[in-house]
Amino acid sequence: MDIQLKRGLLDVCVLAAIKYEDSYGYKIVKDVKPYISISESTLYPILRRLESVEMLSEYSVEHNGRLRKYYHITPKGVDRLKEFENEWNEMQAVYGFITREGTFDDKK
Amino acid sequence: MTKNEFLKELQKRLKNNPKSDIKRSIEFYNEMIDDLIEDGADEEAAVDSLGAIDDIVEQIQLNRIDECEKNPAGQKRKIAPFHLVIFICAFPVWLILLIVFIVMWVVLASLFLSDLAMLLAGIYSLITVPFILTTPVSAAANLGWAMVLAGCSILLFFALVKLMFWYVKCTKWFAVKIKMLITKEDTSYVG
Repeated sequence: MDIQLKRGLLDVCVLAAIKYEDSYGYKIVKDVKPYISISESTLYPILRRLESVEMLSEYSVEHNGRLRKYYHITPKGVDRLKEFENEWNEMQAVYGFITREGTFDDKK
Repeated sequence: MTKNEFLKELQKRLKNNPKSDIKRSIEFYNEMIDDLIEDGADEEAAVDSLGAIDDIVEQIQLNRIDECEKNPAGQKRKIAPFHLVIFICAFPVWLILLIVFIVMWVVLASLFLSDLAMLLAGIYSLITVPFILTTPVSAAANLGWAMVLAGCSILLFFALVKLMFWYVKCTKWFAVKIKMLITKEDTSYVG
């Protein structure tokens, strides 16, 4: 997959992973992995990036005697997901155009 | 590689990054390894599953370049409105602290000047001893006086230098405390 396209999709997938419920790094990787390849080292910059643009916020919760960071989607993050849905509709239209049926014209 | 070895190596590789950046990276990978272990992996397998440390460092650095491009140096350290309000509300406190700080250094400077005056007076008395032709007793008294002044000024000088270092130490300690209060930044990451 194209790197830029994948990067954009990963951002949206991470936001989707925390759409209904706050989550932590390891769980996000586990939830997203079945749909798109993601590793822990890829997730870290994504989380930092999304936080810097205020699409998610973080907080720490004590878990088994240590701190675990949870990520929470912000209204800006929810807007991004809605925006993606619109973009996807456009993409599907483009996809339909690209893959439309027909015969190749061999004019030279 | 154990978790501690991995985190130490990561910290070493990121040493040129800002402290807060290093702290966050270490926290993230520390938590990730703990979660992997909790999920059943043994420590070394958990570290190995994170991939090559070179790739991890590269990802962090690439992201840092992105962030630096988005936030040029000038905009990086924005004062948060909350801090600005605290700063204004705490005006009487920090003004008093500032005055105390200035008075401390002015007193120290005046003590140094007094010490210098004492030393000069001692030297002057020492030089003028041969010119006192009245009585040997007054010449001896003058000599003694000169010695006392010079001796005291030298002792006082060392005491003042010690006091100055103590002032500097106190000032540094105070500045660090204020900085920590504002940024809540911890400087110890890996145990």
